Amino acid sequence: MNQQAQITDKYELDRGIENHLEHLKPETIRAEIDAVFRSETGSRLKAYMKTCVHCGLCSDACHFFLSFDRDPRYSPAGKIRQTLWEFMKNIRHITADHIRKAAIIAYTECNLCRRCVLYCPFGIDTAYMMGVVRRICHRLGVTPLYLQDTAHSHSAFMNQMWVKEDEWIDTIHWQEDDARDEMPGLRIPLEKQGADIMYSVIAPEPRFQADLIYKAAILMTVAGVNWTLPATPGWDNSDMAMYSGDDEIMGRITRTHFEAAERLNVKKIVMGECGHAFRSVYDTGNRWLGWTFPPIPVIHAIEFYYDLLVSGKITIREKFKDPVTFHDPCNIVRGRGLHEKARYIIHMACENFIEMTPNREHNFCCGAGGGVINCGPPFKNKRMQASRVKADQIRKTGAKVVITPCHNCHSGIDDILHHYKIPMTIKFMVDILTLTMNKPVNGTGDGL
Amino acid sequence: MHNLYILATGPLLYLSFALFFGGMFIQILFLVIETYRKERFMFSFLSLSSVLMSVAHWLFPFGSTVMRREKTLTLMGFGFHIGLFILPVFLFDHVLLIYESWGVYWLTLSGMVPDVLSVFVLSACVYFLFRRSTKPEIRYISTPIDYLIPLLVIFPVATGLWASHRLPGYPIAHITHILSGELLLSAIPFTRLSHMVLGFFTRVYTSSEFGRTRAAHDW
Ligand code: SF4
Ligand code: SF4
Repeated sequence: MNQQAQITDKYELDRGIENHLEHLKPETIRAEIDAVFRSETGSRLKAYMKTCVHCGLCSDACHFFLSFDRDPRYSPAGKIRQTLWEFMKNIRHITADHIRKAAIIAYTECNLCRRCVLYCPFGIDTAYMMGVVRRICHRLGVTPLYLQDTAHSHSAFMNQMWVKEDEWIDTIHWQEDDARDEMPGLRIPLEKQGADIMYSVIAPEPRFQADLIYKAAILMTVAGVNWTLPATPGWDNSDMAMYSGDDEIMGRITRTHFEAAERLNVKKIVMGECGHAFRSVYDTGNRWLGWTFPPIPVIHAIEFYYDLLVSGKITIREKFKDPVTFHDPCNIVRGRGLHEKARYIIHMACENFIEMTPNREHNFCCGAGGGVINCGPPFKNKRMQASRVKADQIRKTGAKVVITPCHNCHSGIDDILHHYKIPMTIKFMVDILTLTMNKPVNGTGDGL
Repeated sequence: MHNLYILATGPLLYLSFALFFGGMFIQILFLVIETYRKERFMFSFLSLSSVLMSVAHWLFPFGSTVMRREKTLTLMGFGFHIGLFILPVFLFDHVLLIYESWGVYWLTLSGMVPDVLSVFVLSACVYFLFRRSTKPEIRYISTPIDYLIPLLVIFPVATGLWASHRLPGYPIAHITHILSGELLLSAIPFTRLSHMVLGFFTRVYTSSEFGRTRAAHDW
């Protein structure tokens, strides 16, 4: 059986990918690939392609390669071979089948986790190159259906989950009401001009994890933080367009987010516990807008909690007893080096912390990142198979709770725990903090 | 034979130098110009301290995680690269030739050192070829030229060893040594061997991004 057949066999057809392939003409394919090579990439891509000595050292870095029993097709360089090599060598002969294969590889067989970069003697960034493949697929309209749906939602509503403006505001009021049962003085200040901090979250929070907003409000109130949330678009910091290859929408999302902060005249943005959103706002989307570093200081929740603990604005009442382990999210560890701060928080709040091996910059990706989980049900089985090394790594810790400050990691690991029947639960850092910290019963904070 | 020798040590030698230096210079020039033209933002992320930290880890044996994991490859790789750099530049016979032509000279290798280095380089080439042909993940990404490159190295080193020991047939070995050495030098800009220079560029960018923007280690 040829490789093409093998690849397409094992995936349930994705309508987003298939529907567009039918209409693709070879000239269109050629024109779009050419356009990306000519106008959107340059010497960086060329240098990566030329420098790679095909040594295969990056293979063992990739959880796909390891989980699929060292199948060469899943090694980082192997994925480049099946996609960009072909594009560069045979641009005239690229067919719709090549594009299907490239889309499946780039969207569903690489989490853009950048672990392989640490294992390449030349620091070749395979994740960047897979991003280029995604960009080509996006320009050809060949994107997985579920992922594209989130990009559409971003485009239409400026949030990832079709949350309407009144639903957002309503959710905030609802969480405020609930939290006031626990802490009567609590407010969740919407649209507060001149607050110190704009707090932003990803759309799944109001959609189905609203308790996280509740917990953030408790934390802010106890710490006496002068904070606010925007009532207008810009409250959602997530960005799946970055992963679908839709750079234009990525730019719009990041701009809207910054503009909300600008309009509210805040000093800095604190982003909730999400990794990919941080990657977009701090790094990718920000650059697409032309900023070297964000125009308004942006910090991830981990940095924020760390600051609160170090400055004594929150204190721990009683440490969490169950043994915990920590999953380092790619986008805030390889993407922002927050691993030591995260460990500081855990040591402060938990009694028994067990490290995963490998850890910190070398941690394995959860398998969900890079938009892979957002490609939805057609690719879930493959995602679970690809997470075998992750499952083993988690199981070996023997902990009872996995902490991870990232939504993608959270959902990905939750799936892994169920699929591999690992008797553990998963928590965000804010779950642990709100459980263990001192909470004055009538906290008023100055969040009003 | 004599004519061939004259040709090899004269015009061909200069041609190979020209191809090597010219080829690399043009590559670097194009790289920098294209970066400036299309991806100028990359310059704004460069960070000297991050580069130095990262290069220090990658330039010393076992300094990076992957090197500690792949011990044999690290050993072979370092021996190979050190040999490949030191042998042509510091070999007594080479320096002598340069002295005769241009009147400059520098330190040379003595005693057993050249032989040991040569044998090391040759064994490393064999090891690389073995590794490439036996590990499925490497075979999968290997092109014919990847198998050819170690041969390109084996030739000048093996014939050099042969000629320097005056083994039977050494005049042929000698001329083959010169020609294959020139071929190797000329091939650098046009094959993956160009990683000897381009690799620094990719490392500089990656380590700057990791060290500065991402505050994380890339080794
Ligand atoms: S970025 Fe991550 S998932 Fe993608 S090839 Fe590299 S290690 Fe594998
Ligand atoms: S480790 Fe680097 S040079 Fe080696 S195959 Fe992978 S990307 Fe290429």
